[in-house]
Amino acid sequence: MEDLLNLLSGLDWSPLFISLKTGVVATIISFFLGIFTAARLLHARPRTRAILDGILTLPMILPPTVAGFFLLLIFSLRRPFGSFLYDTFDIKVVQSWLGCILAATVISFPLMYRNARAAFEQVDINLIYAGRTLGMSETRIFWRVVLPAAGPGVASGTILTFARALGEYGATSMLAGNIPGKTATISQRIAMVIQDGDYSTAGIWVAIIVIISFVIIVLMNLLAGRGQHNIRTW
Amino acid sequence: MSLEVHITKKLNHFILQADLSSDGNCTGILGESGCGKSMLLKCIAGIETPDSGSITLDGRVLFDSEKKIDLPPQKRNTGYLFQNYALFPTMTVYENIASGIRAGKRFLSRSEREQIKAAVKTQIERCRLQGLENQYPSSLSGGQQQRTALARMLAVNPSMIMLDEPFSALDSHLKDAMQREMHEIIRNYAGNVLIVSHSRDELYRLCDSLYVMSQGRFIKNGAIKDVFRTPGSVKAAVLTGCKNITPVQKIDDYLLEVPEWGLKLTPALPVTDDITHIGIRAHFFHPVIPSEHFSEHPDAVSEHSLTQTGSDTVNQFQAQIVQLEEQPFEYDYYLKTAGGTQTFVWKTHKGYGPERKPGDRITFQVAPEDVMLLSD
Repeated sequence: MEDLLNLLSGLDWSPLFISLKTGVVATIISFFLGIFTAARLLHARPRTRAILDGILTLPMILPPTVAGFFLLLIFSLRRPFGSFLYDTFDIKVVQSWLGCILAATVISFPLMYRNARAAFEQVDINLIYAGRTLGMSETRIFWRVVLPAAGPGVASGTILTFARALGEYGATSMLAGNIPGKTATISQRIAMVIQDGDYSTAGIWVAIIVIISFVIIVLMNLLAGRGQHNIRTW
Repeated sequence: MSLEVHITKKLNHFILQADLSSDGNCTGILGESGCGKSMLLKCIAGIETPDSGSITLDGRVLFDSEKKIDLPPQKRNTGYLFQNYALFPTMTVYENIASGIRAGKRFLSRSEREQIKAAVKTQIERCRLQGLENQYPSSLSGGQQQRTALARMLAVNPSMIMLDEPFSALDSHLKDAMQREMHEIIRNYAGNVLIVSHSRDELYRLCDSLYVMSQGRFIKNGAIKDVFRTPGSVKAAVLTGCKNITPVQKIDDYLLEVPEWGLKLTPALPVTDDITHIGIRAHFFHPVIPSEHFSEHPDAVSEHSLTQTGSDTVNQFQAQIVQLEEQPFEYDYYLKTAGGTQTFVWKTHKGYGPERKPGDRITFQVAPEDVMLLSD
């Protein structure tokens, strides 16, 4: 017990905050980008939609290291675009927190996009028609009718996106590296301390991330369940 | 107050080809499911686009394929009551009704907000929704949902209203009450009303004129009573609910051979060469009752007047009851004549005359004007 307290008091808590910050920012970006893409793709022609959908979903099914490879290909300081960003705007993606966000966003985006799209497709088309005959603009119909009606699906997509972004490892380690206090997320810290054979520290971080993920998902489930008047059970 | 529709649109199995005009009255469109009648409404509302043709409402061109005019539904100002009501599930009754009024505006001034409040309140009273303002659609009964959808539609002051199978989702005990309320609303509404339904009863109650649609085409139209009296074709007769339709052969202008019923019948109108069938509504067979028993039978009056107008024996025949189906307030007797091969049905209200049993032989008379001449 005393050992545990010693371990906790000597623990570097920075991975917790880096992971949370990364998760939140990546979820916000994925949320808007995913909803926007899903809404746009609904109106695309079937073949265009099938191809675009495939591209957008790829990061979810490929190993994260493949996404990391492509991200490095673009943003590495030794590559044209990466060096251009660094020289002109002083923006450095590799080995930086920006890299953490980018990696987490790319990996978690498909979850948001796919859930949003599925939720939009479930919305009764007559609601949209009714909005139109009532004179509501397309934008207003989307924000006031479609999005609220798709609420549960969008909410669960957001939850999954956050959970995925919080635990991202593969692409993050390749793009952002594992710099203590800067880019070292919880998952990277776990991998590192395990390599050192430090199972007690790893265990603490495992416990922390399990608790965080669980609490957040339960909380958001409860929030999403509240205010939904059209949910049915069977 | 005029509506002119001339459109064609290719559908999966047939072509919708509709020519319809209406002058501020209530027009019904009768047809079986999938005949294209809902598609016609959607084309008028601008939800679907016709392949060609034109739609004009009160002098405004809503659609014209030649002039390349196709107003979006937002600009057509037509009211549409959806079959499932399409209430916005995440809005309260109040918000649903208000949703169309503020449609175009993002920010509202205080006076605009007051106006909206007043307009919603008017509709809430008109459609008897007081006390339900803060309820969500899922907690409303079917009738309340329909009234909310009506209020939402009327709140934007549409130039015309369209009702798509308005009563099909209601329980039968609500249907009657809602039809009365709807009748009241339609009477007070100044513009054109189009009602689509597969139920002749609903349309007969609510409409002034009727179009009968089959496979995307209108096969009959006119004042509603005329369409029911002279449907003209077998299909239209079936859709208006005629139970007894049988092939005939012309003998002369006023005499028809009815082989399946083993009868010869006289119609009121001369028989033209295109007549292939006749229809007789199940309520229009009248038992002939000996004159000394007149007073015992309330429906004997019609027999009396009948025998006075024509000769005593025109369209008189004997038939035997082969089957009895009992309804809550009616008897359906299935009858066959001695020379006939097919049965026909006679409906009579309970309490009108004695209850008959299978095997009974009855003498009937059919008024010549009740023999509907039909072409194929």
